[in-house]
Amino acid sequence: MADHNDPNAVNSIFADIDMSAADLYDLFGYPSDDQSLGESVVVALTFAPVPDTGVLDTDMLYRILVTSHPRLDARRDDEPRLRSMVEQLEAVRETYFGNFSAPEIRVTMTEDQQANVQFLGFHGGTFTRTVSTNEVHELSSPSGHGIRAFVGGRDDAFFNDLPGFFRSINYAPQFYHVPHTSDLRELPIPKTLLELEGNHLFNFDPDKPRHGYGVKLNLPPGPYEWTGDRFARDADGNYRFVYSGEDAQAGRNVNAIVLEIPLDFITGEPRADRVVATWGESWVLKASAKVDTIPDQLFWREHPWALVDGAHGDDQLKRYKVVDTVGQPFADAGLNEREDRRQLGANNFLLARQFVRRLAHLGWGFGPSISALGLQTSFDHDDAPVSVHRTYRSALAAFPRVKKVIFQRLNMPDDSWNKHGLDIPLRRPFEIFIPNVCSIDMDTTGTWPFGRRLEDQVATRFLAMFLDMSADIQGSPYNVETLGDQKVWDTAPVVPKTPPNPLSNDKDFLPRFPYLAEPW
Amino acid sequence: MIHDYDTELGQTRADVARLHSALAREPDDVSGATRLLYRRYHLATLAGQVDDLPALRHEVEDAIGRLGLNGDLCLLTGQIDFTLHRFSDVVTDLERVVGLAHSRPARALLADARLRQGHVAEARTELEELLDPPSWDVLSRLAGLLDACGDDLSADRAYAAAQEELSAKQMRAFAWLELKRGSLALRRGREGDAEDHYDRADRAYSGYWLVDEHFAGLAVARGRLDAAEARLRRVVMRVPRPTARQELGRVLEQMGRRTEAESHYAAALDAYKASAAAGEVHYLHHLVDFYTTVHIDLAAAARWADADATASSTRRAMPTTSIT
Repeated sequence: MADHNDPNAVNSIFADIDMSAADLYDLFGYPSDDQSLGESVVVALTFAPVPDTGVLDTDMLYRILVTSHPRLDARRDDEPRLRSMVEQLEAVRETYFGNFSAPEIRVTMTEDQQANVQFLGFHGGTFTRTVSTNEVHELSSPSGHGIRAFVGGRDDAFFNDLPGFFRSINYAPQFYHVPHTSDLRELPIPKTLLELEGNHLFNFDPDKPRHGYGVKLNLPPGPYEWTGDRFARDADGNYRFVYSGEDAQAGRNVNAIVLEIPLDFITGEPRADRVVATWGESWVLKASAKVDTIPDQLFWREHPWALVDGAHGDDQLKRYKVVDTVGQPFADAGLNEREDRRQLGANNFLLARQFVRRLAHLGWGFGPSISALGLQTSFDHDDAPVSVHRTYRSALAAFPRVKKVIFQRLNMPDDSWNKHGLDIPLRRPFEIFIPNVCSIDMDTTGTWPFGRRLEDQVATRFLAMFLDMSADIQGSPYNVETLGDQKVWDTAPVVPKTPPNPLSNDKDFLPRFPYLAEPW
Repeated sequence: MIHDYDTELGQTRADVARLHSALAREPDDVSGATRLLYRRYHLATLAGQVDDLPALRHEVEDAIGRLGLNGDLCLLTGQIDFTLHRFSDVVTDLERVVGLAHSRPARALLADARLRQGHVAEARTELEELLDPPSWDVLSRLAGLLDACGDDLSADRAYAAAQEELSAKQMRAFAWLELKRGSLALRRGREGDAEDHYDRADRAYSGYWLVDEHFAGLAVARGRLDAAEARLRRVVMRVPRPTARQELGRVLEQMGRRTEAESHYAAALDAYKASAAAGEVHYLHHLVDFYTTVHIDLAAAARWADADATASSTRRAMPTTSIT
């Protein structure tokens, strides 16, 4: 249920669904630029500011799992086959979910808003500290490692034109009042980056410019299928972009857990374990556990450690229910169709075939849009002149269409990401999204997909998967930033002439820990 | 000390007021109108004001006429009709919108209605199909079915399983399940277990009149009439439940305070009859009970039983599985 795009009950961007403290937004992770703690990794988990910005829910438990391993640079560029993809993923699954438990950080709150921060199973030890919220702390581990920690309210570091994304997938609840008892979500209209002629439900209406941006209309009766056969064009022959480039998250706050952790606290082999993989989870206290703490409230107030002590083993987790998970941006919203029953968290290997089917479905929408703009696409759409609404039951049938999308290595705009100039393979989409973890390469800057830095425009980079990375544009290979390049849009037959999403956050990030900007 | 019940009641009233204001500004807002009607249903059941529901049912119908048929509003009509014991109407309500009857909440409600109509096997099959994925509401409905069938052990297990699905944000539902488990124990004569469950319900969600009502039943079973009277007086002060008035009268009568008892009996009977005169059916079986156990008049009891049977010829007298 992770990230900002989810309509589930625990998620919050829709006006008619209450925000929940369990709603995880984003997970950021990258090698720290600050070497004062030694080689360190920054991990930031953000979630809904409930009950308030800087005030955390005392019924919640947040987990950040952190594991490390050598870079898996032995993977071959096999002939793109579904079987080889599944086999490679099976091998990777053992790396993450074999017979071991990942070290983790757990954060719970006391009634007086002190954060219990537990470090469990790390090479550098297991220990707990209780810290005040909304302040930076430098903790000292039993092994002598310094760890920076912040728990509290910040500006939302996510910057994105979410309504544009929802317009691209014809997502009705963003634009219309849709009964909760109905299964109308993504209407049976082709996904697209360019408006479709006659798509009156979702095309921009100058008379209702805020439709979808906070304004919802009553959903007209169906049928909802699109019957047109071309993209819409204006009098000048320009297509209309479904994105506006506007930052829908501007001025919003989050609550956050931010940590800066030395690599040699995480692993005893920091020279070998160059990849730190991390993911987040939210857990809510079970009613049965809550009631058992009520009769002797005085006891719990006087002996708060009795609760924390239960953490050893997993007696603590037995008292909670997992609600939400987050690893990669868009892993749920873009690829898992945001269904609760598909929220498998990091261990999403079961979704490998679904991943293929979903990407093919998206490809039939985005691929022709990209071609119409004069760009090269990695999706095989048989030169379709307009986006097509097509779904697949079989991953095998979908695979030929989408194999390049999945197997191509995603070019970076330059070499700055590879800060040590090492032989680090570029990443491929299936390696990025399965498992659903933020996989931070410590020999890079940690920019997506080698981690995720605060300043990364991940939504635009996600769309770049549908570009053909073997093609050139304006003398340079396509790369993950191509669609964020204003020059591309200046010459494209489209209005508005803007990258799909804002290029930077609404508030400057900080040069020092906790890096996320102060709350509004 | 502020009780959990009072806090929720206050928040719900505030929600209703806020949604009213918002709807006054945008009267055609389907989502706003739907939310308001749902919150009002919640408020009526939370405050024990079942007698408000017939009017609310009309308002929902008006909203459908004004804003158009939609699944959420039809589901609400079904829920209200269920609470008012109009089980046949529930089926009709859920068939008004294509596809609604196949939605998960509608299927669960329909199973409830089927059970009340005596279609036990059909209801059970439906509920068991809805258990993937498990949810507290389906588990508790299944527990209610097992309870009605006399399988106390399985019912208790299902109630306990339902409790495990609940989070700390759902303490009223947790308390309600504790009450159901306590009632099961009490019927088996395990008064100590019943008391434990009721205590736990009270801790989980304090200040709830439904807990008082159950404690009163336990006190009666133990012959502690003073305690029962105190609990029931708290109930009747808080919520207009004629059933609680009747029960208080029964306790007072057992204590030899016949005159006081009669005033409560009269209030209960007036409420039952007013409801029946308005064409409502949810108190008909209480009238039967009244004339067979309080003011014994078997001819009157037979007339009301006949009316009850006519209103819902297949309805069975089974314990409710909805939170009231």
